[in-house]
Amino acid sequence: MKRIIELNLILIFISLTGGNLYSQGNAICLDCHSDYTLEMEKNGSTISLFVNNSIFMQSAHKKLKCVDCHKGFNPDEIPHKENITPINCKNCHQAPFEKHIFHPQLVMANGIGGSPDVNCKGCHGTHEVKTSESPSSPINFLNSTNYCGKCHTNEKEAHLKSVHYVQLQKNNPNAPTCIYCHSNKLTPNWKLDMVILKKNQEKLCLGCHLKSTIGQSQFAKSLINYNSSVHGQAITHGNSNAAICTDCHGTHDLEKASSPNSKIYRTNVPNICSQCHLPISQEYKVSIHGVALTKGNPDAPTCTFCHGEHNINPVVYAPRRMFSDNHINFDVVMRTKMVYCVVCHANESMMKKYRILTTNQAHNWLPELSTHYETVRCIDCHSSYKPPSLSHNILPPSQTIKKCEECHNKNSVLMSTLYKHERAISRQKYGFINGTLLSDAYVVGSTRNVILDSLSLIIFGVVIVVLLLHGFLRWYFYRGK
Amino acid sequence: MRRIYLYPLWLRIWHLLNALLMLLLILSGISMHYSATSSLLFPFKTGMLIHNICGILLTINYIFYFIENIISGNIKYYIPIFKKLMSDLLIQTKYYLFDIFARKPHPFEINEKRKFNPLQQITYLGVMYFLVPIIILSGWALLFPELAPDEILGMGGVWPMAIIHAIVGFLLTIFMIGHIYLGTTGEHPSEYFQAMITGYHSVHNKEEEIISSKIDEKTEQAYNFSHIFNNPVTIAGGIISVLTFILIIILAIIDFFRENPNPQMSTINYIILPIILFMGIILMAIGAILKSRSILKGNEEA
Repeated sequence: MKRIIELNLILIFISLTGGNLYSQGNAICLDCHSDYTLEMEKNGSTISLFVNNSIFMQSAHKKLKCVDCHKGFNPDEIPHKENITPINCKNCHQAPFEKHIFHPQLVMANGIGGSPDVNCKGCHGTHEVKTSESPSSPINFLNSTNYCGKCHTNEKEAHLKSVHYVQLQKNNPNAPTCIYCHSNKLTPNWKLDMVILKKNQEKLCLGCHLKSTIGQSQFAKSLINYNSSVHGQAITHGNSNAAICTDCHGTHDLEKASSPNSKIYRTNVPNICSQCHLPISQEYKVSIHGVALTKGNPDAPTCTFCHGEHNINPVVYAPRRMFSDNHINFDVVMRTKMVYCVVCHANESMMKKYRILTTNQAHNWLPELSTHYETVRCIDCHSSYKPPSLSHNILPPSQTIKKCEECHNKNSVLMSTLYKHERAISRQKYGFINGTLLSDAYVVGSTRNVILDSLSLIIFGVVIVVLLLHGFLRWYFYRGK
Repeated sequence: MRRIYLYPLWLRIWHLLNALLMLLLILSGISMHYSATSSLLFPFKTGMLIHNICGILLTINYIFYFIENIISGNIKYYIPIFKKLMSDLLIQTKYYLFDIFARKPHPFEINEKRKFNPLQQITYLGVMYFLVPIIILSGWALLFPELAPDEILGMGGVWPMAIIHAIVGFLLTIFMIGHIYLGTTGEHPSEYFQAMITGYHSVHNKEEEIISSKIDEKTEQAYNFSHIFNNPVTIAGGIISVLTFILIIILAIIDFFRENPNPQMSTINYIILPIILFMGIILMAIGAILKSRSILKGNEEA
């Protein structure tokens, strides 16, 4: 900076003393270099030596002499210098890397030579270099997408569709540019621990969407509990596999949840969760809910309906009367989490829409309804789960298993109640005599017991063997007489 | 030999019906009890229907028997003489274990006064007036579970009924097998079966039998079964059988109270030990045959 001021002072002095040296200095060069056919051979390739003065005069460097950058050039000799060295921007711009932290390769390089992603002119250009105020400057936040996109074409393509880019187009001063986000250490090129990168990312997103100084964002309501959610906790505890914002929402291409292309659009939610929770997601997709979702049922629950989005336990509002009308104890279903099933399946108008019976109608065959609701969870019968793990494969009603024996067999008191109930139902159905004779409600296996079975078989065996031998001996000795 | 009319018509009809129903009940019961996902002898539903119908018919048959047995006075044959019971049972057991092989006459002669030997008396009494009523009542409790008590000692009312029904069923099955086998111990194997059809029992005179059986004095020793069974192989087999049987029972009881079942112990107890038990029993017979052969051979040489 000091040097620039110094330089400017000299220039001002020169112009004040009436000397026209500065423009003359460039004019000498442009005598030749304004000719657009001017070329030279270097390393077997032809290089244009043309300088468009009108572009240069609009650049940030318009007040500089050619020789300020092209140091040691002698206009009388051709070539002007024995060994033409690359221009070192760092001679004037002494601390460029603090401003270029968004580009890790650049920070790690020295700014001269190398591939376009590690030298200055790769992005800023040569004679056309602009000030940050200029609307066509790459530093201007509106331009970074196009500018970075020169190399990062895939990212640019994705970003053009994103909700962040839409906001940029609307000149929203809070919309993030490439540089805004990438000024944080987010990418693997930083060669940092994954957890640190992820934490930086999380901090960046939450910086706007949760702790915005402009006023709370519309997402803050559910994000406020993000850190206490299972994903938030996992990253806090250093789990590098933990899902952070971008794992679900995407990075450059993030779109609003209402957009069908969004990664978090209703029908895409199971896919995004399956990135980590693959088996569960597969179970869900073949479940009746998963099938309904793919068919486009707008009420079919996705992962986030039950599990929440940023936080884990948001309960969908349902009037308490709906629970009492269905003989369901609200506190119990809250504890067993079955409240998520009930809020839809006890909702008469919603169920009517899809011709599904409400919880009450579907279970009218079940005696002691409220007791069953308190002790048996919906998924105990309606999913194909193997205890103790929960299945997301909720079955269609036709495949629902009446797993009555599962409880009623383990506990002999419950077993009796089930057996009695089945008999009574059988008699109701087939009449007294047939119902008694034909009922197949015997609690199969109630008398099965390894000890009883084994001992009975051993004793049967002993009796038969002893009697056979007895008979054989009788026959053997009779024969002798 | 004389023939006496011991089994009146009502008794024979009851006995035949009882036998058929019991057989069907045992077969369908075994089929249902040991059925897994696949059916054993009958499909489960068929087994259930057979069992239910036969059970109801057996109840009617039993009520008929119970009443008729008292009215006709037939019940007197079931009452043993309790004073001599132990020694009488010992005599009868000894007969089945030893003397029967020598074709000696039954120790308790059957006539109008005594239809059953003491062992029969005590067994039939237990079966007809203890086990059968229990199995009938528990069966009806399973048919009408709402009549069963809600709880018995903290257990549901149905489970104890089912367990009792199954255990008594096993005991009656064992009785049935033994009963049919001992039916062959007449003069001819078919004699007692014929008697249960015609009603007439043949009484054989002891002198008649002595004449008919030409027992060689010298070879009598070869048929003295308390002597024949007294050989190292039979005794070893006997000890093995008894010890293994006791061991099986003890291990089963331990198994019952064990928190975590041990599959290795189950294999030993329910597969390996029973094999040893059967081998022990077979050893007993082999020993007896070998001993009797060696005696006969010695006789011939002498």
